[in-house]
Formats: sequence, structure tokens, C-alpha cells
Amino acid sequence: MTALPDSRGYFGRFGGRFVPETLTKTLNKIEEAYNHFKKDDKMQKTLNSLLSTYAGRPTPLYFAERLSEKFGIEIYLKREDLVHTGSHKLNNALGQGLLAKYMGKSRLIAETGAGQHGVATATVAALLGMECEVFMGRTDMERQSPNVKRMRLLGAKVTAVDSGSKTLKDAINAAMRDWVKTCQNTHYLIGSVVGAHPFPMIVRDFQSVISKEAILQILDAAGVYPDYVIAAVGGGSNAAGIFAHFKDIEGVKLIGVEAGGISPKEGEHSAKLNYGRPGIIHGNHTYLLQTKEGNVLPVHSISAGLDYPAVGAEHSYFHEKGIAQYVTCTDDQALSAFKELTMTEGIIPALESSHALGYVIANQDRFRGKKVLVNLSGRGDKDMPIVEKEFDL
Amino acid sequence: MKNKYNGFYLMGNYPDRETFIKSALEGLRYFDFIEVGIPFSDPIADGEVISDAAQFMIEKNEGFAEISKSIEYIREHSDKSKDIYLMTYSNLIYNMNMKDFNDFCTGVNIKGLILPDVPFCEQSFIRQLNLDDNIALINFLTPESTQESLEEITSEAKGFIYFISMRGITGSKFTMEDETVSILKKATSLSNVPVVTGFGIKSKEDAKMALNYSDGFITGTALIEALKEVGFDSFKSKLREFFE
Ligand SMILES: Cc1ncc(COP(=O)(O)O)c(C=O)c1O
Repeated sequence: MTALPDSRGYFGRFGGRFVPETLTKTLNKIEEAYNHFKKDDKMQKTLNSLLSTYAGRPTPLYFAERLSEKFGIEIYLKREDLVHTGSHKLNNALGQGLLAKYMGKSRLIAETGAGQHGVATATVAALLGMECEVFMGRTDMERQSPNVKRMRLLGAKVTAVDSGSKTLKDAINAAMRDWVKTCQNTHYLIGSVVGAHPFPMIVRDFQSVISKEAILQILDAAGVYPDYVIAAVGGGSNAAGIFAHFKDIEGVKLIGVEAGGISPKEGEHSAKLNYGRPGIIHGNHTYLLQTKEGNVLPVHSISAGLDYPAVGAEHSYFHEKGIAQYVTCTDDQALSAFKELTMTEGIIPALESSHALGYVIANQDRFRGKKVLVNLSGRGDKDMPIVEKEFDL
Repeated sequence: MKNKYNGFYLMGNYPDRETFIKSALEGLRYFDFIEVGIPFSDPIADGEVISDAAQFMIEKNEGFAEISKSIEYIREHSDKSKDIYLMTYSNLIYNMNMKDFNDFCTGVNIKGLILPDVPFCEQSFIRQLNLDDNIALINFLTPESTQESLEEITSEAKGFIYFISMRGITGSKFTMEDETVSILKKATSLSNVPVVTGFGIKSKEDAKMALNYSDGFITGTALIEALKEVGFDSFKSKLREFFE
């Protein structure tokens, strides 16, 4: 599909494999196994069958008529919220779970922020009969408590991470520390297009099913390609998935929406491509929110899934090459989009996905009369503890 | 037989500048080299003890700027045959003003950088930041190293080879599986530079076991623990314990 990353795992100058030497053999093996897995008809058949009969794919593309009318924008929603477990995260978890099994691994570990990836991994572990441990920052366990219970119900061990900011980045650190010890029997099922090569490539490929479907669906529904394709960017997996097949189509503009949080002030947002600069973190050279010395800065977003100081290397590459534009949406704008979609269309979106829609609504003049495809990456049930407070329910 | 080449790790300026300098100088009476840690916010190769020490320094707002002054003092007051290495993570090096950093390293004769998140395959990336050629990038071998990487790494290594005793992070319990010992034996026979074993070495027994198969040992967590819990006196007795 795409020539990048190159054989060393680089998208232009971004990417790479900045991990302890102990893990390099494992990463090489994953890359090799993945290349076989891709060409193995039996495995591909199993994956496709699970995506349809288990995950519920293809997901619909929905024309949001009332919302469109209200804002004078043609808004189409790719309904990843309808994937089993409630978000796009399962697309990748199923793929990597099968890959792990293919490699003979018996245990899955994962990091999670919003808990959606943790739930997806726990689900796949149950489905494939594998052991599962999910690392989650203490702060995130509190604000996404429904998902913690779901993971436990599914048989996963949820390990609270109390170091650093107690959010997604610290959960990744904890998972990496576990993996260096356990790499012989354990697969680290990374939940976004982040980390060392080959993860950014593998996760993107598994998520590209989103645009593989959407590109045909939108032609069916609108008769033409959309003017804009828009997705929220935490690590960047749902965006990578919906960008993949639209990237080379002329006239389609790609927009990634980062968490603008409270303000552009240090520590009050998670918008690395907007306010950060390149650095090396979690296995790759990529944009990062960091101090002058290079220590990682605290970040904020109302949405736990976007509350991450770095971003997948391919997005850094898209950003510098102008292949996609990266913008921000604040906590408040996301919350009002959350309410808008719920009240106007009867769809309760995840707070992450609300950022994509929030940018469109907050900048409606830019999109007036245009066809806009928004990736509705997940549903909002998990966000009840937050919105209960915000809306005084 | 190569001479033994033993090293110890201290977090720079931990728990305070004075204790750090005193500990470094004391340690260099026994050890051949010191690794000075520069604190990074997300030290994925470190266990709780060293991670906490890093966090403590970051909260104190002390980093390379302050630690480099202490290193200058240590260089001046220690035997010139003793080597100094810096141990940190790649992002701090990436963010350095390379000219100033090279000048500093040359000035105090920093032998090399130990960057646990930079495997052999990414060394060229760090080199391309215009790091002075005289500063070695220390290579790692591990229980996971393949024959191919053993050959490649031993043929290119400078300074010494850091042999990581186990699959794990700093501060773990020391073990050396039979398979690991056989990798280590191959490494020492192939390498022209000392192959030094580290990770998990906390006692004289651990060190002895490492020295049976390698050209030296490295200890860190045990010393930081001593400094954290009691202070310099306990550090001093821990040091002696290794060499009694
Ligand atoms: C519904 C949903 N959307 C988006 C994200 C952000 O991740 P990514 O940027 O990888 O899609 C998450 C992460 O938890 C999520 O749960």
C-alpha cells in the first residue's frame, strides 16, 4: 500500500527502533512473522472472518442528516463506535492477537489510557485463550472506571501504574519494563501507531480497514470523495487508519485533531504536533512535548485516550511534509460536540472522537457546504464518570 | 587475559551534590570507572530505585547543567587512569547543544555514553547528531543476542561492552542462565575490549559470579539504595563489601 516505513522503520526522518538491545531480536522476529502473516491465506481468512462475524465489520458509514442541516456541512460518520467493544481499537487487537498466537506467544500485555485498548486486548485474550495483563495509569483508572471493570470481568489482570503522571505514557513505560523481562512468551500488543518499528506499521495496516471500507462507502453515499477526512489524534491509530486509503487521492484533505485541552500553555494540552518538537520517546523519533533539556512534559486532556505527550512517527512525517494538517480542539469544544451529537443524532460518542467533530463545529465556516468524513472512533459509555460531572446528570 | 574493568553507577548529584562527589571519589578508589546518570523523566530500562532517584532529581530541577560541574570536580580530584562515562537516555543527548556537549566531554575526558534505549541498529542516528568521534557509544549484549549480532557488535565495540546479565531492568534479582553464560563466553573470546556484566549485581557473590565469566562487573541499584536509605556511611560499607 505505502512504501513507508523504509527497511529500518523510518518515515522520512521519523521512526526507528529506540529500545533496549534486549528487545531487538523480538522486534525483528515480529517483523518477520508479520510479513509471513500478511501473505498467509489461512491467517488472512481467519482475520477477515473474525472482523466480520465477531467484530461486526464492515461498520456503517452514516450520513448525519440533522447535524448536517444544522451546520450547513455534509457530515458523514464512519461508525467505529459500533465495532464490538466500542471502538476501533479491536481492529488492531484482533490482528495483533492472531499474530501473537501465530508466533507461539501465550501472554498478551497492553497499555491503555481510555481503557478501550485494554478492553479490546482483554477481549482478544479471552477469545484466543491467552493470558492478559493491562497496564493503566492510576489517574486513568479513576476517570475510566467502567472499562477497568470490563477488563477484569474479561479475565485480564489490570495493573495500576503509579509512576510519573499516572497516565498513558507511564502505562507504556510499565508495559515496556514488563516486556523486557517476558519477551520470550509475551507479545506487547501496542494500541496505537506508536513505539518502535514495526509497531507503527503493523498498527496502521490493521487499522487501514477503516478507510478501505470508507472509501467505497462514501462513493456510494455521496457519489464523490469527501473534501475532508477528519480524525482525533492521540497516538494516532484511528487517524492512520482512516487516512491510509485517502492519502493519495487528490482533492481530499486530511485533518488530524489533537487535544487542545484547557489552553496552549505548557501542561494544559496534549497537542504535540502543534506545540511540540521532535524528540526520542517510547522507541521512536517523533514529535514530543518536552522541556528544553528533553524531559517529557506533563500533558492534559479531558479525554484519557488523547492524553499522551508523543505521537506516531508517521504523523510527524505527514505533518512536516504537509500530507495532513494537524489542528487542535479544546476540552470545552469537545464536550459541546459530545452533547451536540448525542442530542441531534442520538449517538453518544467517545470524548476522543468528540474532538474530531468538535473541531468541525468550532470551525464551521471553514467547512460550510463541504463534504466532511469524520472518524467516529468510539462510543461514549466509558466516559460517563466524566460527563456526569460536566453535565450534572 | 584482559585486566579486570569494574564499574559503578551513581545518579549525578544524588541525593545532593556534596554526597554525590564524595561517593564518586570514594568509589573510584576501588573501581576502574564510574557511570554518571543524567536523570530522564521516562527511564524505561530502570527499575524503581533508579527511576525514583531520577524523579527526585527532576523534581529538584537538577539536570546536566548542574551535574556537569560536579563531574569537572571529580575529574580534577581523581586518578587520571579512572574512566568516566555518562549514562542517560537518547532524548537528552538529542536535545544537547552538540558543540558545548562535545567540548565538555573532551574537557573532562568522558570515555563514552551508555544509552540503554539505543541499540546497535540505532547508533548511526546518534552519531549523526555530530557527537565527537572520541566519545564511544557503548554497545550492549544480552541473553537475547544472536550469533550474528555477537559478531557484529564485538567487532565494532569501543570502550567496553556492556553485557546485560538478564532479560530485565536495573535492580532486578541477579541471575545468569546457562545459555547466557555461553553467550558471554563467546563475547569475551571475540571481543578486543572488556566485556563487563551488569544489571542486578548487588552483592559480592553476584559480582564473583559475573567475574567468573566476564572482564568486569557493574553495580548501581545497591549503591543508590544505600545512599537513599542511610547515606554516605552505608554507601562506603557497601562499596568495601565488594572488594573485601
Ligand atoms: C475511541 C478512541 N478514539 C481515539 C483514541 C486515541 O487513540 P488513537 O489516536 O491511537 O486513535 C482512543 C484511545 O484510547 C479511543 O479510545
